[in-house]
Amino acid sequence: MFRIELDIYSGRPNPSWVLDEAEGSELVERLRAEPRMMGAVNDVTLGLGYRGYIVTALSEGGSWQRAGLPSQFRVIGKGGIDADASASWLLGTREVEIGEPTERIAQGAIEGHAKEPPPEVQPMAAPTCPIMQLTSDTDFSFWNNGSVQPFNNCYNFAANYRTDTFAQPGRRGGYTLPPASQLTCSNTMTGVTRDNWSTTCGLGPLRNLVICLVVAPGADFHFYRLCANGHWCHKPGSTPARNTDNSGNWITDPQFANRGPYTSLCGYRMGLVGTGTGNGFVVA
Amino acid sequence: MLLALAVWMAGCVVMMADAVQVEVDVYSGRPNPRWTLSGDASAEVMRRLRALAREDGRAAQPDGLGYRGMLVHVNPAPPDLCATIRVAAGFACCEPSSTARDSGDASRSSASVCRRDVNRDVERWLIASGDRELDAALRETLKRALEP
Repeated sequence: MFRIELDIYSGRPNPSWVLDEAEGSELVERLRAEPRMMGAVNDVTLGLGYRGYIVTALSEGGSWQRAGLPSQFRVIGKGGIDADASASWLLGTREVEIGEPTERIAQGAIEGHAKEPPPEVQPMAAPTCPIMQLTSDTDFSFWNNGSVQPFNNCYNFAANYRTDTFAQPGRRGGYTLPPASQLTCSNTMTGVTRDNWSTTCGLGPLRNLVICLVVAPGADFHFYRLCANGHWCHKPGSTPARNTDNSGNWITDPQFANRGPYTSLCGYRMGLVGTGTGNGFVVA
Repeated sequence: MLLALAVWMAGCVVMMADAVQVEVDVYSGRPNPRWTLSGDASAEVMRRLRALAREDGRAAQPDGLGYRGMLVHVNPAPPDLCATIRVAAGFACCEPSSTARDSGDASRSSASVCRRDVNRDVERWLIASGDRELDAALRETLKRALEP
C-alpha cells in the first residue's frame, strides 16, 4: 500500500491519503510503463505551487519492491503523455477533501506539463550485448581501499579503469564539460561520446562494458555499470563502490533505482575491452 | 603560573599547526567543493569538534548519491581526533582509516569514533565557512538538507 502526499502547499500541511491494494498495483504498473515520471523527493528545482506527489510505501515486500522501486519517491507527472495522465489519475484517487481552488491548481499544472516538450534525451532500455565484461556484483575490494577509493570517481568505476584523477567524461578526447550550472544529459553525453563509448555492442573476442549515465541537472553527473547477476553497481564520488541504491535496494534497472538528485536518466553506452586494454575502458 | 603558561602556549602551537580543509561531500562525478580555513577559523572548528560529547557505539551516517555531509581534513592529524572527520546528520565521526580501507572494510556505518553534533551546529558552521565557495544551487541543496 502507498501513502500519497499531494505536494502543493507551503505553509499548510499537504493533503495525503492511502491507496488501496488495487490502486497500489495500478500505480506500480503505471510507473513501470512510464518511469520518467519518477523523481527525487528532495528535488530542489521545484518551487511554490504544485510539485507533484510524494509516494511512500507503507509496508515491505510488496509489488513495489519486486518491481525494484524505491520506498519513497516523487511523481511529478512530467516526461510524457502517460505521465500526466497518471498524475491526473492519482489526483482522482484521493479520499480527502482538498477544495476546488487546490484541485484547479493541481489539475492546471498537470495539464501544463502535458504541453511541455519531451525530455532532451529519450532513455532507452538497457542493452544486452552478446559478449559482456561483467565484474563481481559483491567484491569491490579493488576500489574500496585507501590508495584507490579517494581518487577515483563514478566514471572511473564505470569504465573499470583507475586513473587517480577523478576521471571526467570527454577529458581523454579533448572535451571539457561546461560549468556545473549548465550541465545537462546532452552535453555530458557529448563527453562520453568523445571518449569513444558506443551506442552499439561490439563483437567478440572483445567484451562489452555497459554503463548508464544519469545527471542531476545543473549540478553533477553519475554513472552505473552492469555487473554480474543482472545487478548494476556504482561508486558515488570518492565513497565506496556499492551495489545498492539510496534506498538500500539492489539495482536491477537504473530507471527504477533511487538515484537521489540524479533525476535525469540520459542513456546507456558500451565500451569494448579486452585485448591490449585489459578489462577497463580507457578514460582520463 | 609558568606551567600554566607553558600548557597554554603548547595548546596554541597545536592549534596553529593544524591546517584545516573543509569539503562538501555531495558529488559523484565532479570533484567536491573544498576550501582551506584561515588560522583563526581552523582553531575555532577544532575547538568546536573537541567540545562535542563522545558517542558510544556506531552512528548512522548518510551515504549514497547526493549530500553526504561535511568532511573536515586536518593536517597533521591531531592525536585526539583524526585526519578526516565526517560531520553529518548530527554526528562527527572519524572516517575509516587507510588501514580499514585496505582491508576492504570502507563502510562508514562501522565508524566507531563519533561525537554528537547537537542541532547539527558544527555542520551548519562548516557550511557557513564556505559561503563564498558555493554556488546558489548548492547553497539551496545544503539548506534543504539541514531542514528537520
